Amino acid sequence: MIRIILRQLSIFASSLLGIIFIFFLLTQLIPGDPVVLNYGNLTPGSFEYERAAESLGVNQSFFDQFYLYLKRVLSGDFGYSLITNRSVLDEFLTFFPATLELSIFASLIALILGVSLGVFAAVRKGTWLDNLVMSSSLVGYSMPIFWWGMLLILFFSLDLGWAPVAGRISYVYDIEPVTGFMLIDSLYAYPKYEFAAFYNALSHLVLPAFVLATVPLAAIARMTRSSMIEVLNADYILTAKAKGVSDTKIIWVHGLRNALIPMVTIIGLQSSVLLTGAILTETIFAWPGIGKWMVEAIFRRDFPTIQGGVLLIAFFVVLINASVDFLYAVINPRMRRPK
Amino acid sequence: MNEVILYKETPIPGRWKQFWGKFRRNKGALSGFIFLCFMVLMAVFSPLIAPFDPAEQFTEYLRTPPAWYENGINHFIFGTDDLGRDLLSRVIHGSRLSLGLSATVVIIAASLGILLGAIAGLLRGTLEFIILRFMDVILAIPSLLLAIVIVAIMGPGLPNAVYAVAIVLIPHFVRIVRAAIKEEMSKDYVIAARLDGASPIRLFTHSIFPNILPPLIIQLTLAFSTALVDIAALGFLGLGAQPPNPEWGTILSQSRDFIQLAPWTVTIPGLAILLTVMSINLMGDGLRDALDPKDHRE
Repeated sequence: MIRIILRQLSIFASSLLGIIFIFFLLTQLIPGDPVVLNYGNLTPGSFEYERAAESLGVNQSFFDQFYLYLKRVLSGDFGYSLITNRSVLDEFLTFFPATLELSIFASLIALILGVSLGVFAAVRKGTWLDNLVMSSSLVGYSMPIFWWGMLLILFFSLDLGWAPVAGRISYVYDIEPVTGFMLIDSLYAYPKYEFAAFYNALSHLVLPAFVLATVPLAAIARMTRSSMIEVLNADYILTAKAKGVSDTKIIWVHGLRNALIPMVTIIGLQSSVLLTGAILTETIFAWPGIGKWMVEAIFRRDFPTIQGGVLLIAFFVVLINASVDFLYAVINPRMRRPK
Repeated sequence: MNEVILYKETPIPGRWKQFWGKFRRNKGALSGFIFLCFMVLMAVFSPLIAPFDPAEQFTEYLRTPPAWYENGINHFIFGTDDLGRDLLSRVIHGSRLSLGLSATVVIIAASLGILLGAIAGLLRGTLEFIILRFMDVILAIPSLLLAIVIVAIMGPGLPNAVYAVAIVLIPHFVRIVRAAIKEEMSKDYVIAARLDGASPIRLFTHSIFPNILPPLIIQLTLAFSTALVDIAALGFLGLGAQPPNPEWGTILSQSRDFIQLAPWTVTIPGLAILLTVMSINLMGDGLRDALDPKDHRE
């Protein structure tokens, strides 16, 4: 166990270092004066300019500059936004819960629906139901989600009026961000009106979460099906059948548990897909998360925000991947070799 | 009467014939392939097929609905957009941009990826370690986000979007080529070639490369569909092709504001993206089944 933890930690640390190094290289590639790019329009020669230049180590060697950069990043200093003057880390922390809420909700939809549809298709392999699930998963897998989001808005929000078009909650409610998760904050916000604020927040969340879930859902359904078909052909399933175990128990206990093991890593890889999708989904639904924040930063040419924001997002993805690898090692009995 | 003895020839189909036989039996893959051929032909001959110029404005026909609507006219089959441009012509011309750009992306990514993968697989040691770490880092950043960073550094525009998406796709090629080389290296035929005195380069081009083609072809189709969606996504975010270019994603971002007034300007270009990506994925599935030597079960 300790060996697994140590190995994961070393991989995690080296990936972080690699990411920081590559970002440092990228920042060197940005055309323009690095002082102006990082600290805004300072007049060269002024006191502020000299201090900023010193903190970046502009006149020092490449490696000294990297050392300074590394030291800044590791101490949690990701620079300051040129537009709002707030620290990039602070801004990231205000926008991140919105993205996290959306992504968690979307992954729940994708996992629950995807795994059940996959198992369903595997058990009824070759029937028209299987074909239906497989062909709709192909459509979902190929879906350009920015278009899908617009279609759903057109149908559910504009034609039927069932769901709101944009945002996290109606402007009627003034929610104090305590946890940053709208669903939790809105629960306690207006005790007089019971759960009105909560339902409002939920109705804002459903459509974007479903849009974001589409591609991972289809991918998970396809993989569950093929993994499940393989497992159901294994000898131990035949043994279980011979012992007289009921079909339901064979499918959900013997089958699914073994089918899910190879899928943990693949589900982990979906975290990167989810964050990519979040950028598009947030743009369409005006969801105030990190994706929208990043896209806006690009149009404002706010370089410290882009740089620091993407670095933080990359850290997060590496963290998720490392935890998924760790989880895989823990839940898969075949990885635990006696020694 | 002399007895005539007929010996029936038993033909053993060649590699390509075997592959085609398997591929043809997969109806989905075949229809995907046919649709893609149709799209490629449309892209190549778009100036001849399109009824109008994609930038030509018909100011009396702003937001004319498609021909199957009650007030649509047959002159503009897919209707016109908010500036009175014929949507059919724009989608046809857009196929040239969308397919052509994705093909360029895949060619760049594949050639660089195969090169780096071959270097990593053949020359082990420090260089391999550096290449692999570098690729891991690229993989750790969500693809579209990395493309956004690259576009942010180099500025929005078509060539930069192409480079950005290409860089994002390289690691997958590197991994596949390196893993395949590692696997093939220990096989007898490679050892035989090595004993004959083949140099690493000759070993790769003559012995290994032809044998790692199947996984590579599958990766090519995967990369093609990813490239198509990512370029459209960048266009949609305003970071890729710039208007008035009729790239499909850019058309979508332009028509987003008129979704209620002119929904067809949203549905039709998006449908073009969806159908093209779907046909590529269908073809990819078929290729995987046809090229997989292990697959004799189904």
